[in-house]
Amino acid sequence: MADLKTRLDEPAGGRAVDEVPGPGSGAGSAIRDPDDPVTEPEPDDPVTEPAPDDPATGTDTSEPGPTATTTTAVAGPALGAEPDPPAEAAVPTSATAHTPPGRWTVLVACMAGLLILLTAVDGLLYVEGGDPAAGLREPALDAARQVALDLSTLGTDNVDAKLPQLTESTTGPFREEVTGYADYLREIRKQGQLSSAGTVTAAGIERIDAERALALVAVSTTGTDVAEPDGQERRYRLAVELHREGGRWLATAVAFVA
Amino acid sequence: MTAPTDTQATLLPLRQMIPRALGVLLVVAAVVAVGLGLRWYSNAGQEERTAEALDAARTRTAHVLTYDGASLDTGLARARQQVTGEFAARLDGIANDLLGPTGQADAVSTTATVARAAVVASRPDRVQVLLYVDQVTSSATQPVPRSTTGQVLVTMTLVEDQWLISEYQPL
Repeated sequence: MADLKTRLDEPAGGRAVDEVPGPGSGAGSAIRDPDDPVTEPEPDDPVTEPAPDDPATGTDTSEPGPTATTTTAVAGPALGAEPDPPAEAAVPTSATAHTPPGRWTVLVACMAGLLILLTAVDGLLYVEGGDPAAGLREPALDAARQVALDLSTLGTDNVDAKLPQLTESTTGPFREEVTGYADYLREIRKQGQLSSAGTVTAAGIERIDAERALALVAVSTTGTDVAEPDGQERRYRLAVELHREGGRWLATAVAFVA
Repeated sequence: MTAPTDTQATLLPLRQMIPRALGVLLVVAAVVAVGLGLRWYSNAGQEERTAEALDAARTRTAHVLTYDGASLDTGLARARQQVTGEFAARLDGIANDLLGPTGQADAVSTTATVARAAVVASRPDRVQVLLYVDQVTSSATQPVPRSTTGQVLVTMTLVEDQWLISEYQPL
């Protein structure tokens, strides 16, 4: 009986590869085996009855015969190492019944593990992969709005106050352009005042990726100078190019769309 | 016969619990995986939908703003196909304003093209778009075409798999 148990145990354990010749029959026995303990309770009790068991399973899996001898040889010492034969006898009894579930357990565990992995990948995809620019859209739009607003409200009166903010929100050659315009405003300040009140009427993202964005910003400005002391409302269609540097969106160009 | 059944009664459930628990775990994991996958899919789909809405905003706005005073009815019929909701209700009023007291006599014709388009806000069934529109207008009284530029804020709404203009606001 013990031999039989170990024989059945082994394939579920590490011997699955060795048993390749009879996996089909092994699977067949896996389904049939649960009946065995029910139909064979008596043979279980007398430990000295291996013979009746052998033909019973022999009908089930006749091929394992030759391999069984090798597995028995391996299983022999393993059983010998167990200290309490009577107590152990009970456990292997159920083990015999659940050797197939053991196989299933491994299968189910593998699938569960695979699914958990899949779930994790799904989660990552959802968080990061859905729209690569999803979390960048709003900051880019805010930056574009701010630069457009700052530029459209830039005048001789507030150039000194506004310039630091503008140079900080721009980069590259465009920053120099802005600085140049600021110098120009400071220069003409000597001759007269030029001020501008601007509002952003609408802004949207034309295209965006992790590093670059192109935003459209519609602004309305009322500029006053010597020629136009009362001011005249003008509507501008701006396109703001942005580049992401150090986690911040900075303007690299602002153009009028004619 | 009774003794083994006893041991089975106590041991079987315990032994079976592991595969069963794993089975339950498997089902839960499968449900979560499918759920997350679907959410990711819909999220990824949102990008595509927004692009579709942007495309529809371009072509439909151009359609609505392009008309020939000589065949305003045809133009209006076509415009009606591009719109829904609030803007659909306003469209007839706009058409009447265009016709004005002169009706089709003035024969104003306008060709509109969308120069640039950008997404202002995006939701699964509603996408707001900023459009820079160029229009070339000519009329009987002013045969030389006149170019104008403008910007409009348009809300696209998904109606039966079609993105239609539901709001239209010239800026």
